[in-house]
Amino acid sequence: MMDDNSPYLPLPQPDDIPVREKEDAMGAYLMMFAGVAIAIPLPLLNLVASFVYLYLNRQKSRFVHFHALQALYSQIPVTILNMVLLAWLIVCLVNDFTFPATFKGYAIMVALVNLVDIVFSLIAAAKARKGLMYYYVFFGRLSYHQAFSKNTGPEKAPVNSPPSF
Amino acid sequence: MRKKLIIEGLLLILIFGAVWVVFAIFPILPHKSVFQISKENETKLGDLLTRNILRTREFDRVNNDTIADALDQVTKRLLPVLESSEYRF
Repeated sequence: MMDDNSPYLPLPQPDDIPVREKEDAMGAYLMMFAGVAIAIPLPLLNLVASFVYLYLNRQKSRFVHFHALQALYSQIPVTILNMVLLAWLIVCLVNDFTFPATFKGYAIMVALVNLVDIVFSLIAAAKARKGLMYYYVFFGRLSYHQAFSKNTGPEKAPVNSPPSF
Repeated sequence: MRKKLIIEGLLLILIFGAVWVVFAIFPILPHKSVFQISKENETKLGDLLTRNILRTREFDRVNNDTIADALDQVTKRLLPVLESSEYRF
């Protein structure tokens, strides 16, 4: 159990989370298939979709905020790796179809990273649908810190004020 | 929290780097290029193409002494200084 001195807010339990929020949290992980869904396999597209999803859903609850953040953060390195692979591939194709061993090793590593990302995203999506927290290495801790820290949270609603005289 | 974050981040980078290095040193993909061809097969291919060109009806044989002399002079000067082609296959 979390004491009052903890810098983090208590976690919501599965029975306390509305079904709609569970579905919204699950949807965050499915943004990685955005590029596939519209048949444009550009690496950057999934990242943009995750960012837009976070922006639209972060105010709903800390549970949704956490899962959307985790989905976005895990997409960033995968997207960078994919973009570097694409650029390197184009360079190799222009350079007389020569593929050095470092490129092949990198391509295999990126393929494995994508595979791991898909597997863990599906697991996380299933957990989120059940109202459970699921922490990735590094990204889970970072997202938890940002979503459940007492110093952070939903932004305050803007207030209109009269002009100063 | 921050210390654990840094440790986990470094751990991820190390794992990615290690996987990259391992697969770069021990490639599992075949190295054979689709453009690879032996010298013997290349010679056969050249002969085959030459025969096909010579069989073509539109191919006319030119019998002109002036042209033949000119070409003879050019080849006499050029061939000795030509180096063998560096193929990249």
